[in-house]
Amino acid sequence: MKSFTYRRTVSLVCTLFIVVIIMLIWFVNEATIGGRGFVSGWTLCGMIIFLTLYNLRKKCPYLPLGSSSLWMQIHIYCGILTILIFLIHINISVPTGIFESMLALIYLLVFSSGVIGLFMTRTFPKRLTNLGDEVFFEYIPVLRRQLRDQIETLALKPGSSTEQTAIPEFYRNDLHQFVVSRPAVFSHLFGGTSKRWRAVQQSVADHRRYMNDDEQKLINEIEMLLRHKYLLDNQYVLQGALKVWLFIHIPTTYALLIFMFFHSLLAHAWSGGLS
Amino acid sequence: MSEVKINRLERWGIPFCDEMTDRDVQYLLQMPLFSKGMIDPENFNTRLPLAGILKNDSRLLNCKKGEIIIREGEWGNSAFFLLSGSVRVVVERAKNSIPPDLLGQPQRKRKSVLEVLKQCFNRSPEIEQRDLSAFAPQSSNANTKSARTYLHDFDQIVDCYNTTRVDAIDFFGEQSALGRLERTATVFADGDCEILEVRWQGIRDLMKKAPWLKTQIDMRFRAFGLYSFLKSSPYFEHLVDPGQASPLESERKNSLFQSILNDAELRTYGNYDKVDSFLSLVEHGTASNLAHEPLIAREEDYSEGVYVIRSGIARVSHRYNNGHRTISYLTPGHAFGVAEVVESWRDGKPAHLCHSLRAVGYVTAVFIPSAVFEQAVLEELFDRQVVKTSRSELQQSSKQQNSSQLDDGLMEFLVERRIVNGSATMVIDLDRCTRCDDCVRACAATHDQNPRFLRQGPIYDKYMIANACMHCADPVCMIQCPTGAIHRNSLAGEVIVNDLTCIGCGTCANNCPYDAIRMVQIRDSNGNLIYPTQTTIRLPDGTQEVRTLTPLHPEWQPIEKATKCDLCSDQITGPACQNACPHDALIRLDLESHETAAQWFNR
Repeated sequence: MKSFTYRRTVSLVCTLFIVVIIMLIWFVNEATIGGRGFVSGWTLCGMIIFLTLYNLRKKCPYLPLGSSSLWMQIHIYCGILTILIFLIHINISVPTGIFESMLALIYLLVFSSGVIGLFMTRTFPKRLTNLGDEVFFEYIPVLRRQLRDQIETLALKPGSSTEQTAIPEFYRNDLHQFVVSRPAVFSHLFGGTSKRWRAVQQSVADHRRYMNDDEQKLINEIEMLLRHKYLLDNQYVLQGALKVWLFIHIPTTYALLIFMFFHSLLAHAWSGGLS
Repeated sequence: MSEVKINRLERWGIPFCDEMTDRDVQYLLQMPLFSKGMIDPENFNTRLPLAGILKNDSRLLNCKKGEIIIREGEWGNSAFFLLSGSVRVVVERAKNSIPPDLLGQPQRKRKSVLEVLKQCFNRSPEIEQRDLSAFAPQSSNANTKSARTYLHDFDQIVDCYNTTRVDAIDFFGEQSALGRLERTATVFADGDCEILEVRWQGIRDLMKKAPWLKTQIDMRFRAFGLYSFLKSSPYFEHLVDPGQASPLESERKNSLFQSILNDAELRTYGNYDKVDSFLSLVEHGTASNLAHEPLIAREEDYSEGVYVIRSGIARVSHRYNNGHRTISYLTPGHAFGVAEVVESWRDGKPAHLCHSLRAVGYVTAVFIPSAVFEQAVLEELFDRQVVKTSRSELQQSSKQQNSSQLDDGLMEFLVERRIVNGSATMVIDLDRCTRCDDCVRACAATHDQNPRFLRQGPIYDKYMIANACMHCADPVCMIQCPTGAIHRNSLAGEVIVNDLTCIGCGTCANNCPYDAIRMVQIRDSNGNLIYPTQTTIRLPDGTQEVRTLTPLHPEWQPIEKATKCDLCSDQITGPACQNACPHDALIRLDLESHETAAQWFNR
């Protein structure tokens, strides 16, 4: 079994080798027939169609088309190579026409969403593992609802030794908002501590000094549940991000294919046809 | 609601062979095998009559000369009683045995590319739909009828290969059937012979009621099991295969091998047909496990010999603080105590064992006394003056022997939870898993739109052992299956469920310590749940009565079937889950192979 370092090294060497070949072809093309962009355009088109096929491969797991991880590796390195072909194709300049500009923008959106997706798929799993409990994304809203009920039962329960307590009021004023709120997407996404969570922690710490032993026990339980809610939010955001990026990457790819089709028609029409 | 007539099956709902008639049973009962002193019909009661076992759990085979009855390496689910005539058993194993091409090894049945394409376009919208025509009585037994294969050149094979003749009345194949193991020898008919093949559920019941059979099986287990195992052990290769040795030398080596056979003991630890203890052990922690694990050899005791594991898994541990630290685990073929015997032989004084050895579940091990091992192996292969093994090297011996190189905690986790029992354990590296569930979707796409595993399970550090069938080396799920629906694929050994003979009792699901078997309600082609229309009631006098069911009866419950991972045995791509993981996060790992496991965990 080959290590990931070995695989990465081999893939990088192969990619660099292909880069060198592409650059050579480009220089030769430029020096001889002049860069009308058809070679780079059709190469880019072929690569993008090939990259799109990965999604189809995923839909048919029982076809003997090679493992998904092999496809993924090729998808990553081929995807990275497209930026080089793209730059060659546009002659490293900003497209001028509206259609071309839109096409270039869509390509860049697909490419950048891919790069961000790659970054997320390589970093977020570790962060999810560090959070501890494994939770199914689809169950998180249910679990959050259960947590909310548990917290409210504890904080608002009547007729206990804490009858004269200010905890219900404290909950309504300082904690309720955090309990019912949606996850703080950006702070979880970038690995920071959310402002709301800091405020909750601070507020719990502040109120502790006015609590008796029974209240301390109760607030400890509530704080544990609040922490659980915070971790669930974190799970929700990270797992959600790992799913959502594909909702940008895949539809824009299809938009790119449509734009590419019309672009190739226009390009050939204005250059005197395929001949 | 469906009105399709599929009824809930019982223990003998689908017989082993539907060609067994009452006349055949009467004929069999007159055989000497079924008389006083052997399998006595009077010992069987009306609830479990011998005639019932013969009719439902067995089939009569009339074999012709050269017909292959069992092949070495196949996984057995039945035993054979030789009623008349004789058979030949190939004595040599592996490379010295008859080549597979001469034995007409059946090919593994996988879907063709055309069938796979059809699968793409023929996805059912409902989960767990079944083709009800497959449940018709005539098709349910199709799987019990196998094509007969004959040896092409009988006489030449008998001349070229070392075979032994077995005459009626005798039996064979019971060890692999009862031990859930591979067949250790090829058997073929020596002439016209009559054989009674009994599936292992029947053998189990026969053993309960016929003490003679139980004694015979135990005796043979110790005699033949020991012989065939020692012959294939690498420790005694130099004695079994003397190569170009002179006749005198060959004879000396044969006598040495014979001395091992005389002195070696086949020892068993744990109970092979008990699942309760196994279930509770998996749920408890290490300390509790160690207390319940039968001790094979204790650390610091004098080394008395070498233990070679024959079947099952054994834990090697070392005393640490107030507990025991797991150093390694031994799988079939691994030996324990070799280094200590070497030290004792070299220094000429007794040596203490550096580690303890305990049985994880059911273990059979061959014990070879030090004196015999020294004489037959060490004196034969090494020069006493050259062997230099220090005590400190011995402390690490088990680790080096098995080259496990696994993290201590991970090793403890794998052994403690009996995960080492798995031959295709689903391990997920959570640091690489993006929780995309491509594996689950791929599994569902290949299995009636219902995944055969859950992406959940015990976690150690970044590794999750998912609740997927591990295809255990010792599958305890098979132990109490009343019909033998859950069985090993005879070719590759995967544990699979025969949907047609599964009665939906849920025993296998309850017995699986890893929560890898699920009971599902099946549907017809219209997506309706299937309800039984009849039920069979067993009356106190042993007779059966068929009653029609209506929705008012408590038995009017949807028909259920056991489902589990089958390792996509019919798919050309192999396990869909592993194949569908884009990030190399999921693998089906054979933990019996320390090297493969260590390579993956340390990648």
